[in-house]
Amino acid sequence: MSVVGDFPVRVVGVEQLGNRGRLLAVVNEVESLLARLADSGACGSIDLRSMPMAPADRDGLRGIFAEGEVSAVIRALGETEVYESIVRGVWWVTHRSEDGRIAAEFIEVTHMPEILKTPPDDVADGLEVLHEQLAALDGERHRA
Amino acid sequence: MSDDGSIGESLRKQGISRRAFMKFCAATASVLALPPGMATVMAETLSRARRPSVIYLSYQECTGCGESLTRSFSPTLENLIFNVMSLDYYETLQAAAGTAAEAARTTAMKENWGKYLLVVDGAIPLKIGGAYCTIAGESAVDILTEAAKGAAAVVAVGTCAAFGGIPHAQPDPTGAVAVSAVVKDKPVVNVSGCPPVPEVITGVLAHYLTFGSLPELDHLGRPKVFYGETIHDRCYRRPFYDEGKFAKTFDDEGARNGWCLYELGCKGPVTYNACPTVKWNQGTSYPIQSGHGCLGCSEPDFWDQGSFYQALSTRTWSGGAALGAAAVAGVAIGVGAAVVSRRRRAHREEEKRP
Repeated sequence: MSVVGDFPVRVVGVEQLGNRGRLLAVVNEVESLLARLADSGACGSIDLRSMPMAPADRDGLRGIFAEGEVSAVIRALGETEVYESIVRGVWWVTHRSEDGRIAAEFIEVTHMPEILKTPPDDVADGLEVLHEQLAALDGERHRA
Repeated sequence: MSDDGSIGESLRKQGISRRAFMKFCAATASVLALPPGMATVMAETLSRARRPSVIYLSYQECTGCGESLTRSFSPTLENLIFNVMSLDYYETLQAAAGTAAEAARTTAMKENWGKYLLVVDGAIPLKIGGAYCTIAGESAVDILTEAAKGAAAVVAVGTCAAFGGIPHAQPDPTGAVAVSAVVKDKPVVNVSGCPPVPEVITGVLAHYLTFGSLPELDHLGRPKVFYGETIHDRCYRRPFYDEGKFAKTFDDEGARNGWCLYELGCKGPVTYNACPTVKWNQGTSYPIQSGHGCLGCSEPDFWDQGSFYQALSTRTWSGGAALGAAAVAGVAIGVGAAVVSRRRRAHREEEKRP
């Protein structure tokens, strides 16, 4: 037997299991969350890893919530991909580890995912960095 | 920024950004089945908290649980769980050895008496005065008894620590018992599995660090959030069980089509664990997805339940009374298939008789 492909086995993977009905449940849940966001401004999210979805369900979801106008990549302990779907107010957030594996994945129904906002500590850090830059510029001006 | 000794400050010193920490919290909240919004609360709480002392004891075990723990998430994300706690004693990872190592344990116990988290993997042998497992001349049972006195809580990691596991399997030559058989006056969380899913271990630790309490437990002392449903309940092959489609051998058409492995001995219907949702190897797969039935490794006495390849319907599983609700729900077709399986097996056995 020279290569694995020589084995007379036809592997039918989970990707061919087809739609098992979870797609409709998730889309309905997103619809409820989006209605709530529109009515009261309350945010919500769905943890995609908590559901044993068949790949066909997942592909269906990706189709309905395909990438819209906004997308971003955050590089912090691996990449986090964030995009707003064509259904506005519905965001797809994928946290990856450094080796590219998915560590967590959510559909967030919100005006802006939390991970995109600058945390207060980072604002303080930014101010500190800017103060150092200003001090350096000031020093250069005095030396000139 | 001032150095207040908090977890947040510790992470900042190591150059870990707030967003990176939020990402860790999002992954952990996901594993804990907390509402996704809790990730922000978790990040806030943890970053303000001080790093708690953790003492990790290993006894009759194969180090598989430690291997599992150190492979949770990616190597970098996994490091974060160690950054939010002070792992003061763990023979497998610590650089110190001999008397220096034991001194680290006793010092950590003294300085954090009543507050440290005690993590134990491996069973504890009781025969001949506990002499089958000793460290620096002290028996495992004596060290555990003493260490548990000063612990805020005890986490038994792995089926050996939770239920005695393989050391306890017949004929149990060393009199191996679970941690809960030794520690009776402290809350003991059983994180069973051989080994446990790594994210389940870190999830329990993160829950304790975040909320200062242990998660809700089932009747076997396991966190319900991870062990609340059977493998069968959450298995992606479950629809085939409901349709009565079963693989009969590991290389037949049913196996190739990814049908249910019940007749090949899958213990999913009586096994409570998070494998189908959290999965293994960074969410890649789990045994059933890879084509092999569940062995039931997170259940007591799984090693003494007979063949891993015998269908549940053809024998008595000691946890049979706890058959999952979903397994019962699928009874109309499933039991029919089980009866067929039993008849077929009986027929085969009859054929073998001289």
